[in-house]
Amino acid sequence: MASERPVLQVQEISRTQPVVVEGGHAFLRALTRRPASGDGVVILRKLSFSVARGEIVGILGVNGAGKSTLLQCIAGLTSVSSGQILVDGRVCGLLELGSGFDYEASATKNIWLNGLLLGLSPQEIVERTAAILAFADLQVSETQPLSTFSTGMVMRLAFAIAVHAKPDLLLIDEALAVGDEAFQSRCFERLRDLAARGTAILFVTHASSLVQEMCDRAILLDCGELLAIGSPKRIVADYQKLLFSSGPERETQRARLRMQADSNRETPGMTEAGTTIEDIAFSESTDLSKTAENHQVIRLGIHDVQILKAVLLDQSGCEVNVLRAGESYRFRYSIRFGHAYRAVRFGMLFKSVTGVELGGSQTGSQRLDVSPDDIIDVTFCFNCRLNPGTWFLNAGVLGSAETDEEIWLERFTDLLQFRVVSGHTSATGMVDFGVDFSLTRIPHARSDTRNCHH
Amino acid sequence: MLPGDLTNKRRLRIGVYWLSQALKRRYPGRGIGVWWIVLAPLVLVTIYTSVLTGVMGLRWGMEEHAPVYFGLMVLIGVAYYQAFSECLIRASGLIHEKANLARKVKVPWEVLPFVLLGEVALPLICNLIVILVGLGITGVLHPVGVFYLPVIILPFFLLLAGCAALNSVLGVFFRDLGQLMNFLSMALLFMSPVFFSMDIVPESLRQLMLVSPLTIPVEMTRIALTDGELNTVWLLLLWTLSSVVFMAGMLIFRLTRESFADGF
Repeated sequence: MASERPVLQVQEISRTQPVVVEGGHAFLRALTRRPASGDGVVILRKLSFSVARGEIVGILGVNGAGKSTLLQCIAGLTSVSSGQILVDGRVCGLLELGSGFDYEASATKNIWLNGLLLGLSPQEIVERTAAILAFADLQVSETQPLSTFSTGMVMRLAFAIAVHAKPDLLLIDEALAVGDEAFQSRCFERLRDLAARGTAILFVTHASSLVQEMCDRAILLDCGELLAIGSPKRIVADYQKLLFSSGPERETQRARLRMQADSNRETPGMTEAGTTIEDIAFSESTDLSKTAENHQVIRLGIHDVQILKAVLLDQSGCEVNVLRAGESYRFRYSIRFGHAYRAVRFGMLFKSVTGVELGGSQTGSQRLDVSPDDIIDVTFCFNCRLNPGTWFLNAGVLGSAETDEEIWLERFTDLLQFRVVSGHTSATGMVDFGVDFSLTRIPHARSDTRNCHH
Repeated sequence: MLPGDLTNKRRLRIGVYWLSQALKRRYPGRGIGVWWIVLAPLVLVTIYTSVLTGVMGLRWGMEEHAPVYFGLMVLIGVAYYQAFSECLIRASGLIHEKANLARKVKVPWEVLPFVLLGEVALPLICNLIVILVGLGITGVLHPVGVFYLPVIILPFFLLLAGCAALNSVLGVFFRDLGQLMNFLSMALLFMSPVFFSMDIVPESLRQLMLVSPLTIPVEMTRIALTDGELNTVWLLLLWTLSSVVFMAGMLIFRLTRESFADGF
């Protein structure tokens, strides 16, 4: 698969949106096919990436980052000012929810028109119409015009057409937010199915959890710039950090991400943040080198706070990374501070592989003031309630620096990775709530129901 | 295949779909609907005949004719005028009509002027059929003229398509073009021999009349149908002019279509 030509190659594309789109100047510019220069707003700056067959790539970015424009450029709806977009196969977009429909015509008519516009042959359209209607599950009559449909129904129809067009590249712009949950889950299932059959999917969303759940890779866009590309988990972390920072801190973040991206570019093939779960050998021994500490830790803060050591200890004080469900353990880490900070507190958080935040704690009840070169040792005791599987531990330090405002001094995402074994066999899901049960056979209705005390 | 690149066959199918939708909107299925396309010219002939000859006492040209002859002659002018005027006015908003679609899929823009052409050509053809029948019944139709008709209409269709393409491009960049076109088409009505014959136009105004692109096809049609004559100089002029407008329209359309979506 890797040797195949990528479905999508985006090469150094830039787009400058002209401010003036009317009048003689705009007309002359269009006539001479000159790109807007000087008077335009730069929306995309020298973006490059490629997407392989069957890959699901999420695009993250704050509002105005250029996500939608990027998709529109790829779909060929908007021209690029410079650079090149190469698409190998059929592109299909779910951009701007349902607006491509003729609201005076029926669903069937719209399937015909959209099918033609998407490049399906008449025979293909006729063959797939029934399947599209079945998937959309509209429950309306054949002739009912789209103007009588609800927003959700229109969206369902749009999605159904898009997935049944069997595109080589599917672009989705936030379009899935409208459907009800049952339909959404059907959509995701269908998308995974499409990806498994070789359709590459690019989708824009603000739901970070969705990116972690669905995507093989993610892209972080900011101000039209590709800041980072890599594993969803890492990009989501980068995105959130960017989302909640402002001013100079934001600039520093951006610079750091840009530098990372550059260094990644120099070593192609090593772009991914990391080791997969399977790469780490688990052992119950005290062999330190085998713990996940050498797993790439994503540090989010930019303050001068260092983590010295992070370990999971069992009751006898041995370092472990395989935990037994139901037993008590300690999570211990040491932090060295480079500056003085006030009202410092420490936190920890259990996370699933997909990034779900399961639960954690923090030392807010006992805040500390620290001076430069202080080392604080933090220990959290916990009872392992997690079910068998692989889990992550985050750590974080909060405090005030110059102002009274409390900020994240440092966050360590996926600091430790551990496995839980031999849980309660009856427990399901992620967490063992210690659920107990009892069974009682209710006597048949024919007999007196009042006898039914136990 | 480039993203959204459409083969000719697909473009044709999309064009057919859009045209059928537009015609359905124009002539809705129930009620008078489809019949209106034939009924309208009949009603118009009756009105022109009764009002213009009966009330205003006008005569067609120098010779004496039955009153309905007047109505039919005016209808020839009106048929061409309606097609041209609608083309001008509608074309200025043609691209913007599909703005919604353009945000979702790659629209084959180049189909649109031809869809408009189809929309205006259909009533024109129906009107001409009614006129042929009317002239036949009243016994003034020159049979040879029927064969001349296609060579006059074809270049006129080229002219319409060219104007539609040109105007739809200009409509993207000059949004108030619609207003100007409304005014222009009103002026055109009296600048062309629609309600009168060129015979009664004084020599000094004839040159001015020739500015209107309708003058040549309208007069040629009248002369061809009643006298069975075809002025080759006019015909050459019409074909040349129409081809130039058509080519220019298509060229400008092709050059600018990439920027259409910028304004949406």
